[in-house]
Parts: sequence; structure tokens; C-alpha cells
Amino acid sequence: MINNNFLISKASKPIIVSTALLALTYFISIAFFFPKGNPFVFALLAITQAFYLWMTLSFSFSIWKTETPVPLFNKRFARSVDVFITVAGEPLDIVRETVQAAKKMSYLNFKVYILNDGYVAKKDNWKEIIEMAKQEGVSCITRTKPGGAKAGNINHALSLTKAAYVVIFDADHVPHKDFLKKTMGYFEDPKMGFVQTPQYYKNFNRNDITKGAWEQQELFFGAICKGKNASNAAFMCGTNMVLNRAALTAAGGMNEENITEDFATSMKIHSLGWKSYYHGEVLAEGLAPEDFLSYYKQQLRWSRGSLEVLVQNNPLFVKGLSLRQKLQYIASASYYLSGIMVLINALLPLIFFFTGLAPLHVSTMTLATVFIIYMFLSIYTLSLSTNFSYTYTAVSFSLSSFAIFTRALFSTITRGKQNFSITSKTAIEGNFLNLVIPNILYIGVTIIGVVFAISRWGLTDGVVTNICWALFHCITFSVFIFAAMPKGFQQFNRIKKINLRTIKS
Amino acid sequence: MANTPEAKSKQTTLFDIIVLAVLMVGVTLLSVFYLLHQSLRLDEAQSLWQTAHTLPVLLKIVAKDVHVPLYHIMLHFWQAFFGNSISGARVFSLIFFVLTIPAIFALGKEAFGRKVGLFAATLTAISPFLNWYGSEARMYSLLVLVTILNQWFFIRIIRAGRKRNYWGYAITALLGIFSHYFFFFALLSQIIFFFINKKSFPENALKYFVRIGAGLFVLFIPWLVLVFRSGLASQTQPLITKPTTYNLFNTINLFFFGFQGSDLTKLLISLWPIIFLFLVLALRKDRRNGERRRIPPVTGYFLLAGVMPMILVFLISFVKPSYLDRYLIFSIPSVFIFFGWIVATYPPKIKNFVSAVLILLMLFSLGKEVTSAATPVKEDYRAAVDYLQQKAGIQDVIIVSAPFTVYPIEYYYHGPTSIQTIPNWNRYDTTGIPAFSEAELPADVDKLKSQYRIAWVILSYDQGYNENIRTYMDQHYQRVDQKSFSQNVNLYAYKLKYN
Repeated sequence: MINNNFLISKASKPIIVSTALLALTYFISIAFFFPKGNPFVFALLAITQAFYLWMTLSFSFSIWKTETPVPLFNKRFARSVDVFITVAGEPLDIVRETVQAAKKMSYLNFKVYILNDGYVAKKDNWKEIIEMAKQEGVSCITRTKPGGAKAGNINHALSLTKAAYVVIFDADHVPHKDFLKKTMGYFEDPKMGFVQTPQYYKNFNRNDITKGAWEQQELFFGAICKGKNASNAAFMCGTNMVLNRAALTAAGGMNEENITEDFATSMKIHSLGWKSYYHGEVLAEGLAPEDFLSYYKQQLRWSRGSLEVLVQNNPLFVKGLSLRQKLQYIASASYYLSGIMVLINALLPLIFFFTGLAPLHVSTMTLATVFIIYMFLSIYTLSLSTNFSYTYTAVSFSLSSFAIFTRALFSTITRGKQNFSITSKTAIEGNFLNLVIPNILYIGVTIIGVVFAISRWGLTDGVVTNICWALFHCITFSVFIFAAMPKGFQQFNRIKKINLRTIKS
Repeated sequence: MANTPEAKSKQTTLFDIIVLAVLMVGVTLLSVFYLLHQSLRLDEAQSLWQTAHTLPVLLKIVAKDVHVPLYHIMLHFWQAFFGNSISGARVFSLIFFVLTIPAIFALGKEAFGRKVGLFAATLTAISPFLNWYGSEARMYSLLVLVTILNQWFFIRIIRAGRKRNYWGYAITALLGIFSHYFFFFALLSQIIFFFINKKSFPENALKYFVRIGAGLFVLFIPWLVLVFRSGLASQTQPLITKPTTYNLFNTINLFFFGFQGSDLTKLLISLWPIIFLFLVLALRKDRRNGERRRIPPVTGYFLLAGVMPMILVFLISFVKPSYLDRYLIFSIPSVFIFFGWIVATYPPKIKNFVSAVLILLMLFSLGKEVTSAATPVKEDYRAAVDYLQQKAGIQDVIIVSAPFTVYPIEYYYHGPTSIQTIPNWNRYDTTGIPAFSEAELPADVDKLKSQYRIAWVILSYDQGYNENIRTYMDQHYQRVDQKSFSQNVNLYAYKLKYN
């Protein structure tokens, strides 16, 4: 049973405006009205707050109008469609399920292809995929020349097929029967470039990782994507989408330069004047990363790709995009700058513990008053915009990923090489604590810092407030660290919980 | 219906009754052994003085004050049976406070289920702030109880409508507006909530509310007329300074941790980022089915009723300072119930941890507030007067400032020494307390100089001129003694003339 709550935003315009105004008030208060402390530390705070102001304003802009008029839609639209299922070593049964579901889609004129990249990706099961394609009676296109990763795989298939429209599913995204019925009609408008649908994770309740991954997605595939329709700025998300071949061809095919080919290609298509639409209804069900390593890699890939767009092909300077589209692209890509901002924010209490340096000298509680009201409204808006689907786990995963995003930022700036593999569709067992060393380190340094600060300055109000801030980060990071722990440890905890419940009942 | 989780959460269990009984007995014992025996405080002395008059005079006196008369009338009759002692008057308040515990349980249970009700009842019973005013001979415990009952009927109206609930609401609202002027802020929260959430109410609710509002207005008019005729309490208003944002945080701090020394208060207030953590932690789904957690509409009401009066009074205070923490006491039930609801949404481990830490902190604060001599609100006039009974002679004079602090001093003092106030105030004069004049101070003291040997100056409740008096006396007379009896009650002795 799919829970569609996340698709209904309840954030009213007065609430959105109030949040934006309070964000502005908070920033102006900090920047101009409070006596500044150490200039360097103040600069750090000001940078982070300027970023959060941008995030709040751009978020408000995105969710301003989530219900837009439905574009032209022809129920009887029946032009030819090639359905591409991209495969690169995913387990056979997973691919088979997707293929079988794709075959069952109700539409008159479509053909299913498996884009088998197992050979070039050196996966063992590439032959089995070919065999399975035969069994299922679908075509299989197997690349022999590598290059361009998933984008290269799609471009290769494009060169061998010719339907006017192309549907792309990742190997694990099982389409509903009515996927084509509910999406193809939008192409009645000849300028429609692509239609995107939500990337739903049916295994979201499997474990802490899947929950964290999905709960973050809910905000994006809910209010944010729906809101992008108002700016004609919905972008492709790699799977569960339909593309107009003409638009894709005009854009030069899928972008093979960028790791997040969908994002870069969408921008190109929009810049050429094509339209897009986000159809806010779950029409395919996929799998979230089930283990910490896969989640880590996925986040690294997305952040690196988005930041590359921001650094190397900044939407602001892309000709052909409207101002609203530029803002929407920058808003989405700049989300990944939050990593460095979280890091700076988390470091501020530590700087205070060890040096006594504070960004502001505020003796009254005015700043706290504005901050709390602002935060309350922000969280309330966030809750409303996701119909109360956004959770603490999502916040925790988002903030705790600071090290991943920061790593992506530095490698983007230095143009460092990173190997990316597709997200694993089955859980990889192991101890992934090495991936959360920055988070663990933070907790360790905080403990030392607290002891140091108390012994040096005593339990002053400044020390206590900073302990609270550091504690907030530590508690938030601990959820993430727990998720990275060896599965055995987590299972032990879960079994313990179940036993306790059994005893109680 | 009886077996649904919702219905079960509304059924009072034996455990609930036992816990409530323990809390009520605990509160009573704390009062009996500690709080009832404290020195009379200024406000209490006023209550005793005001209620000692006949009913018509009492009404006139209260009309000149900044309060409404219900509590005074009730206390007047209580005293007719139980005497005019301060302990008796405090027991009168204690009864309301003890009843507050089951009342808030009922309110919390009605709104969010028995667990939230029990948690709010626990916080109420161990709240240092409520315990303090629960044993004070003032109207505050009555106000809290009436507010809770009024809110209970309000929530019942949302749930079921029914005439008896409207009647209950009307009667408690009437009691509320005659308990304290600030009760109007409680009504305002309800009005705002009603218009925001009209859909949650029964169809004809607006009609009933309008009738109730009109009825309350008509019944309040005679009192308003009396107040206007008495001069709008212009001579009896206490000095209230303009609040700062610190006061807002301090009010919340007081609601939970009561009156502590300034260092501890600062420390507690500096914990404010924890509020942010609570807000973020409240973002969660119901883990049992992965669905969003439903937020009952009444949650918004409790947030509104808990916070809005504070903010409104804060803003109004920039025009007319009126921000006094104790006047906002009626917000506490809403704050506790809202907090109880938030904590109830946390996963069990976090919920238990937060509850345990909060309860321990509040118990510690309560113990400290009750036992510490440094508790800022303690006014030890009794000790000051005991000292004067021993030291002051017939040739001396006791000078009291602020003038209205003469009430608690007179309550205890039965010696031969004359008592004067600066500025010189005749309580039976309708013109009220004269304004302090620095220019007239030397002349006022000079008059005393010819008659008395030593001036025993008791300074408390600074109305902005206590320091002027002390400085003048220090500069012109020899200080022969000084003693502090509590943080706000200080005694200075000056030799006016030599034999």
C-alpha cells in the first residue's frame, strides 16, 4: 500500500511568507544589529546563515505553488514508445520483476528494451540478463564499448531505436500498469520535453538506511518537485520518466560529462525551450539503498554531480533558461553545499570551547527569540509541505551527511577523480563505521571540548548554550552513526527490543 | 468503541487514581510543612487587609486595585468561618491548587489521552512556581483552576458540543474574568483558535459563543463602571518595568523551575537551544505503520493558549508595562499539556529520558526554592519585624518604603514604635499613594528628626526611589545598624538625634 501523504503539501501562503520573512529578520538581526564578537568566527556564522537564508527563500519559492493547472493531456495519445530498463549487474530476479511489469503496462504502442551494461561494467550476470530477456520476449541491447556510464548506455540505445518517446526505468523500479496511460498524454503538447514521476522506495521500511533515504526523498518528490512545475523547472531524476526523443536529440542525448546526467540533461533541454512536467503520483516502485555503503555512494554521486553543475556549468549563466528556471536549478544543486555549512555550524561551539571566541556578544535573549520562532515556523512549514511526512531521521541523515557533501565539494573544486558505481540493490553487510569517522570524531572532540571549557571557564551561560548546540549535533549524528554500525549490532538491538516487548506483553 | 486504543487512552485507570492521590497528598504535605509557615508577603497582607472589610467596602477597595473581586469575596466568606490568619488564607489557596492536579489530568486526558494528562498533572504537582502560588493568599491558584475547568469545557465543546458544555464553559468563563483581568487573554486564545479552526467545532458553536460573550460582557459592565468611578486603579498600580526578551525565556523557565538564584536562572535560560532539539525531535512518523502522525487540532490550541498571552502582554508592555510572570500563571496548564503532548510523540526511550530528566530537575528546583533562604521571592517581613520588636523603642520610628509594604509589617508588628511611610501615605485617604519627591524628602525626614531618636528604615518593593532614600539617609545621618532579611527586605537604622 503506497502512502501518498508526501505528495500533498499543506503549507499555506501566509505560513510560507511568514517563514521567509522571519528568516530574513533573523539574518538581518545577526548581520547588522548585534554586537559582533571575533571577526573570523562571525564571518563563519554569517556565511552559514546567508546560506540558510538562501535555502529558506529558495525553498519558499519552490513550494509556493505546488498545485498547478494540469497541462494539456490527451487520453488517447498513442505514439510509439521505447521502454528502456537500464541494467548494470543488478540481480536477475529484480530485473525480471521490472521487465515483467513493464510488459504489462497498458498502452498500445510500446516496446521494452533491457539496456544491459553488465558486460562493460564487468558484471558476472550480463549473459544471464540476455538469456532472461529472451525468456521474457523483450529486446536486450548489450554494450560492448564502455563510456559515459548510464548516460552512455542510454545514448547507445537511442542510436539503435527510433520510437518518438523513450521511457527510462532503473532495473529495480517496477512500473505500475497505468504508467504510460498516465504520462504519455502530456506529450499531446509538442513542446513537452519530458515527464517525471516520483522515485518511490517500496522497501522504505526495511531498515534505518532505507527509512532515512526515503524520508529525505519525500520532501523532494513531494512539495519541491510539484512546486517546480510552476516554473517549468521539473528536472529528470534518472528513472520513472518519459522523454521526448526530439528534445533529447536536440540536447545532444544524455549528458555523459556529468555524473548526474539527468540533472545536466534536463537543464540543457529546458534551455532549448522545451517544457517539462512532474506528475505527482507514484507510478513505479523502486528500492532504496539498503546498506550504509550504498547510501553513502549514492549521496556522494548525487552531491558530486550537482556540485559539478554548480561549479562547472552554473545554471545562472546558461542561456535559454528563464530566471525562475535558473533559480530552481541553483536551489536544487546548492542543497549539497549544506555539507560545508553544517560542518562550520557544528564547529562553532567547539571553537568556543577551546578558544572562548564567539561570533556575537549577545546579552539579551532577542536573538534566541527570533531564532526559535523562525525555527518553529521553518519546521512547521517543512512538516506542512510534506503533509507531516518529514521526520527527525531525515533531518539527521541530511545533517550527518556533511562529510559526504564536503568531500564532494572538495573533489569538485579540485576536479579530483572519483569512481562511481550504481547503487546496490541488495544489502551489503559489513561495518561501515569508517564512513562516519568525521561524525564520531566530532562527538569525541565535543566531549574533550566540554571538559576543557568547563574546567577553564566554569559552567557559565555561554558554555552551557554552546554545550547545548554541540549536543544537538552529537544527538543528530548519533542516528547516522548507528545506521553505519555492523548489522549484527543493530540486529542485536532489534532482537533485544522485540524480546522486551514480548516479555511486556 | 470501548476497546479502541483511543477509547482506552481516555479511561482512567486505578494507577492514575493512585498517582493523582499521591501527588495531591505530596503537594499538601509540602505546603503544610513548609510553605504555609513562611512569612507573610506584601501581596498577601493586602489580601488580608482588603478582605477584612465589609463586602461593599471590600468591593470599593478592590476596584481601586489592579484586580477583580471574586477571590476577595470568596476569601472574605472563608475568613468568616476560619478566621483572618494568614495560614487560613493560604489553606484556602491550597485547596484550589490541590484540585488543580486532578483537573489538569482531566484536561490532558480529554485532549490527548490519560498519559499526557498524568504527565501534566505530575509537572503541575512538582512545579515550584505553582507550588509557590498554590500556598499564597492570592487569587493565582483559583485563576489556574478556573482556567483549566474553562479549557476542559472548551475542549468538550470541540469534541461533542452539547448545551451542558456550553453552560459549563460560560460559568467558568464568568468565574475566570472575575478571578483576574488577564483571564481575558485566555479567552482571546480561544477566540483566535475558534476562528482558525472553525471546522473543528460543532455547527452552531458560533451562535453559542456569541451569546456567551454577550452575557459575559453584560455581567462585567457593573464592575467596569465601579473601576472607572474609582479612578482606574491609577494610584495602586505596582511599578512594572518594560520587559526584555529575557523575560519571555525567564517566564518559561519560571513555569518549570520556579524562583531560583540569578546564577542558576541564567544557567537554566542558557539551555534554550534544547527547545530547538525538542522541535526537531517532534518531527517523526508513527513507526508502527509508517504513516504520518496525526496532529490533533487541539494541539494548536494549547500552543496558542500557552504562548500567545505571553507574547501579547510582552508587546503591550511596550505601551503600558504590565508583564508580570505571576499574571501569566494561567498559561502554565497549556504549556504543560502541550509539552506533554510533544514528549508523548517521542520514541519510548527518548520520552522516558526527557520525562525523567525534567521531573528530576523540577524536583530539585522545588526543593531548592522551598528550602533556600536566597529564593528571590521570599519576603521575610516576619524576621524583620521580630528584629524590630527586640531593637526598636518607643522613642524610635519605623519608616517603611514602598508605602504599601506597611501592610505585612503592621500584620506582625505589635510594639510601641510609631510606623511612618515615605512618601507619607494615608491609607484611608481616597487620593491614593502620593508620588515620591526627592525635594520633599529632607523636610519629611526633618519632621521625624524632632520627634524620634532612631529611624528604622525598612526598604522593600522598590518603586524606583528606595535607593534615593537610602543614599539621603546615609549622607545625612549616622547609620547605626543594617540587616538583610531576604533578598528584597532590607533594614537600615539611622540615628536622628542624640540624647
